[in-house]
Amino acid sequence: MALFGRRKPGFAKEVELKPSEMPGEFSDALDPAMHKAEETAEAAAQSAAPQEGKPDLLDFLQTLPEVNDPFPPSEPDPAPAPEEEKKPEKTKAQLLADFIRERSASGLITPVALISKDEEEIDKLLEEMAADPTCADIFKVRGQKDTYYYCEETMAHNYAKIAMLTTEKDDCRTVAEMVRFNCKAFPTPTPLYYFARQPFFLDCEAMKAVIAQMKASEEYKDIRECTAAINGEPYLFSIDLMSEKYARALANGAEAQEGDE
Amino acid sequence: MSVKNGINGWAGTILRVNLTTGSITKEDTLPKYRPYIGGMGIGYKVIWDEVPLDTDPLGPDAKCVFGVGPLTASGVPCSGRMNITLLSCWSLGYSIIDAHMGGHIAHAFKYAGYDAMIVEGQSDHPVYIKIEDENVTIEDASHIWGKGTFEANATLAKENGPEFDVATIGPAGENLVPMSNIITSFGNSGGGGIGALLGSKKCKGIAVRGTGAVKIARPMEVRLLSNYMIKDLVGGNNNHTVPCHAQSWSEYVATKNRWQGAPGITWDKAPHGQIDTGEQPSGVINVAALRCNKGVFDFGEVAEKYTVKQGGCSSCPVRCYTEYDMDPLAEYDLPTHVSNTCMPIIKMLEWYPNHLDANGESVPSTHDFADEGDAKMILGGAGSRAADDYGVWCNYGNLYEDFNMAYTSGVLKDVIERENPGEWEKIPWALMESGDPRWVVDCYRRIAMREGIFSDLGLGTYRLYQKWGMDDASKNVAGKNFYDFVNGKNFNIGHNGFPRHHGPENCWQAGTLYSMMYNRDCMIHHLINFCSSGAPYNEIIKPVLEHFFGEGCTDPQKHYTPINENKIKLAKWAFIGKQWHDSATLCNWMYPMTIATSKKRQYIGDLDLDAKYMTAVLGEEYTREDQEHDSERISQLLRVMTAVSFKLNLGSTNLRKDHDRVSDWVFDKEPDFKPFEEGTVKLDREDWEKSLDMWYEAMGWNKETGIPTRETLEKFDLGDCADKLEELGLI
Repeated sequence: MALFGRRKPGFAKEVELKPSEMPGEFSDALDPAMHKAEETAEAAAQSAAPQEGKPDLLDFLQTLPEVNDPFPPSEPDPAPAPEEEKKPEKTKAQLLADFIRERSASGLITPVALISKDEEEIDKLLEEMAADPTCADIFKVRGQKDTYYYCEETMAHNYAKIAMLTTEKDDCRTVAEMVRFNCKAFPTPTPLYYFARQPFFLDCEAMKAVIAQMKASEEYKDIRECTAAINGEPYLFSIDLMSEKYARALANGAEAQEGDE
Repeated sequence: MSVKNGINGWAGTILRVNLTTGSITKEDTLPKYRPYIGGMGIGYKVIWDEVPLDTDPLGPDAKCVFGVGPLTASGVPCSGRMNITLLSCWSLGYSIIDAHMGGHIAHAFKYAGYDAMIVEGQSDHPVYIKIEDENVTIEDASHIWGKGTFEANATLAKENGPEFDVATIGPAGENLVPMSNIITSFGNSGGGGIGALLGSKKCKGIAVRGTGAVKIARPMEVRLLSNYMIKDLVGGNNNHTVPCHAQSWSEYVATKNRWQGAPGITWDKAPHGQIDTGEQPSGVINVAALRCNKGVFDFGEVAEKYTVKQGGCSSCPVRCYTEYDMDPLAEYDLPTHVSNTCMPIIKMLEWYPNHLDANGESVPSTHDFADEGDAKMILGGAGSRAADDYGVWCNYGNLYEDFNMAYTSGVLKDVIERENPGEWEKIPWALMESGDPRWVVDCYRRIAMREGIFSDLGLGTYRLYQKWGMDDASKNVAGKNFYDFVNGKNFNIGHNGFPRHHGPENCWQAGTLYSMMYNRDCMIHHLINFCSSGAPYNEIIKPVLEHFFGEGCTDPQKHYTPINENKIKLAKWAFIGKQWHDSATLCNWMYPMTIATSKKRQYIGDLDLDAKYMTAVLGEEYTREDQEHDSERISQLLRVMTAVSFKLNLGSTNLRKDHDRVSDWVFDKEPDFKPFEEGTVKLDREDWEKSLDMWYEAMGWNKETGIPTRETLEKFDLGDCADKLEELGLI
């Protein structure tokens, strides 16, 4: 079956089915119009195929003598179009940009570590790419372990940042950054189940460990827990950006789906 | 139809069906109804001209008007809406209201060649109205009278042909239950008590086949506008414009909203095998329908297991009706194919309040079925199917909240035991206490068949509270006024008998103001759509809204601020805009395009889009100012009819006091907070009175009474309305 939208590796497999293989009441086999279409297509294919004993038309025409055209054109044939100018070959930097674009289109950021494997002068190449106006759509985001490139035409800046955080597998930093961002931009506290979703994939046990680690760290002392009164759903918020009273109220409203039926 | 008669947009013909005499006549839509656009506008004008507002809503002189508009079936996305105007048989004042339904019948009706159908009189035997292009007949419906809507609809489709779109009332409407509706397609309904009105006319429903077309002046322009809308503007269900699962093209991720489609979110029961909804980037037209996944929003990822597909209405790319095949229901001999998108499927747990066990302890009544946490979904499936089949309408959830409050407060038991001894013991409480889905089916059956005092719930909140003393603390065992008391289940917005529908709980004073303007729940989504869109308030919602309406027009969630002029401007835009949508017709759950999905547009939507569609369809310039002027005309007519109803039916001369009164809980809830403090949605009484003053001024209404002035009405060529108000001593 087809995956609509952009495909992510591993989320679906493609299977090609012919109409006659479709099961049940949705089978095209039951649709006379489809049969007719298939028959027409088959018939057209048969009539197009060369038949035994008959010469090919063009071959036959070639054997005929030349004759004067009784209906010469009123204007001479136009001069043949000049050969298209050959496009200059892409530079290495531009090819690198193409590679980054392709990965971005699939939702993947490109770490320097990946592209430097086969490239000795990677720094120079990256500088070239940065200076090339045809690569102006290529951006980077710095992590703690590496720098990552992406194309802004197909990948959002914030998503690139999320992808960087999840790639570096620093779960505490990932959770803290997202919680702080949500408190500031929306503003909203963040439910723990937010991190179970893609691309975080942190289940309950993982989140328990993350919360325990954050509590023990000075760096994350602003990250606090609260609970939605209506159903006990746990949330996180930053005390530097939001009061606990407000966080609890927003969490409760979200879980109660207040007015959002 | 308009292709034949040369009119752009409108079909050009209004049907009139008299069920007493059997006469069927046709009249021209234009030019008479041009100032009223279509749909609701035509309905209001007809009722104003032809039905005295003290008419018995279920009597022989009552009428209803089915209506569509110039944008219905004109190639415009999300235009599959039909409006039905009638007098309320259940809310305070018994005034003018509307029902609306989606599905495919609006398009069929337009293709058949009609802008509206006036149904009047009463048949002496069950009938249905059959419309097949220019051929309109009144057919016998004796063989489907008494049947549920699913069987009735299937029978009409089988008898007339599958090309017919059909809509029928259920036993609730036949039995004149005020909380009744009409059902079409798969779970699409028109509520407001239309079932009872049609039942009083012995009209089981309608069957429509239209083979015509709508004439569009500039079809390529409509197509380009539609492409632009779907590519750059529209989001998912309720126009939520930010996905709820991170997608690589999107700057933002919502914590909780209706755009649930994402890689890994699947339709597990799709006919040819599981479908992964993947990413649905802004700028790509073909994936819009994969965004919604309403089941996942309502019930969590457990819904994927039973999702067949996302269904919806004609011309809609959003597809907000999850269609399920819920296997666990088969164990209870209940239908497994269910579909709904709103209250009837998401609020069924309200029928299962905690009960007292043998030890007198309060214990839950529900349990998991096949998976952890699936009770809400399975019970929702059973309940929505039963509600639709019996043709019961829920008054936007008040039906079950009233049951829940009455049960838990002891009022239900007290009234039943007092009024009908023996009934309480016959009610199968064991089904409720064991979380059996057949309980909710039985509840709807009782209501539809008017069985026992229990079925008084079908009267609707206003009449129920009067009968059971729930509107007076001294008249019920709970000692409460159920309109006013602070309780998580009390959603009454005022004392009129209907709940808030995106009022103070999300939309500050603006939402509360327009919530009070109708005689049923307002169903306005202009504000809630962007509030819950998933877009960040500080980075998108505030700048975009202030771009359109000025500084301070909007508040963040749970942090309101005092009223100001720009909030009034916003509120008015939403209020009159709703009349526009129900007249044009466009789906108010999707329009307007306020926030865009497109980053290139800086997420700024296009509030002129509706007018652009009109211009393209009509082939003549139609501006947003024209749209707002026409919509305000209809809004003023609504207010006039409300004032006249209140005078004739209640002797009231003051809408501010008698109609626009807001329930106390709006000001008294969340006692740990002060109004306008971070964390609360409670309003301030003084600020509310100021809001009303500013609102009435903006609408051109008398500040003391809330009734339109002659000067205002003359501006909209409603001088005859002013005459009537004067005659009644209201101005």
